[in-house]
Amino acid sequence: MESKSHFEPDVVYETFKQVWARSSEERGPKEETDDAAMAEAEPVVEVIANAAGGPSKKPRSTTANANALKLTCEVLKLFLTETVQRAAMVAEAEGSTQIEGSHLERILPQLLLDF
Amino acid sequence: MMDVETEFCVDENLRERIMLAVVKTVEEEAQGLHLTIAPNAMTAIGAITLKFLEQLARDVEMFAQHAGRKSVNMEDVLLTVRRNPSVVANLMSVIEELASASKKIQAEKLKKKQDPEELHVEKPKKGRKKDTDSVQGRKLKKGQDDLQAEKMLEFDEGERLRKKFMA
Repeated sequence: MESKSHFEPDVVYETFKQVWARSSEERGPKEETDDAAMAEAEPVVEVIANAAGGPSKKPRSTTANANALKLTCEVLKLFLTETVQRAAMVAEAEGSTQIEGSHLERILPQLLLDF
Repeated sequence: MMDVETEFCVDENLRERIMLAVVKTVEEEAQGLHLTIAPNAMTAIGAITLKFLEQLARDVEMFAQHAGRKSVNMEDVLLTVRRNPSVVANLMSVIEELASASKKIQAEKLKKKQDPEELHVEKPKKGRKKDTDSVQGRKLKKGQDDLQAEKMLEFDEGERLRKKFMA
């Protein structure tokens, strides 16, 4: 069996909650001013607003279930191992025994596209 | 114009805990490859991971809302890595492990709850056991053991997800 992720579900959960709090803050004040405009706005505007993660009239506080958190821990582990492995390949091709920032730079664009 | 966020949403304490996990994971991996990692590279990886996690958080929230849910589930998480088939496959096997683990716990709890009398009537045939499971599952839902009910549902969810993502 592969090694277990070093990330703990409750760390992930707290992170989620803090991010969600911030994103709902950003949406909050917007909701009040846009409500009147929304009533008269064309459907197109509403689609754009929703696509931008914009105002939904009911305030929703999101939660996450336990398995989703465990899965996220796994995702993080995979992301990191992938990062290190790709950077390692570049380092080894250079004949280096240490992974440097320059190696990281080279693999970063493709890594972020793949994730 | 999109605002480029250079700051993180999470507080310092949390950032440290995340960084700790990052460092452990990275060092383990580098060791396995017989390489070392430069300190500035480690710091950069930490920052990238934090950004990644924050973006993931926003994504799963949106996916759950899109599905009309308040609670983020496994499907939402899987959706964030849809572009990477090997990661998806890896996660599916994790899901199966979780599902079989919860099934075990489920079976053990049933054994405890069954009276000696009932054991006569309910013969442990495989087919029947499944039916008993789902009936028990519904009874448990009403009972105090919400966690078990959730695990039952998630087992079904695991099956559904496998069909969906491995098609």
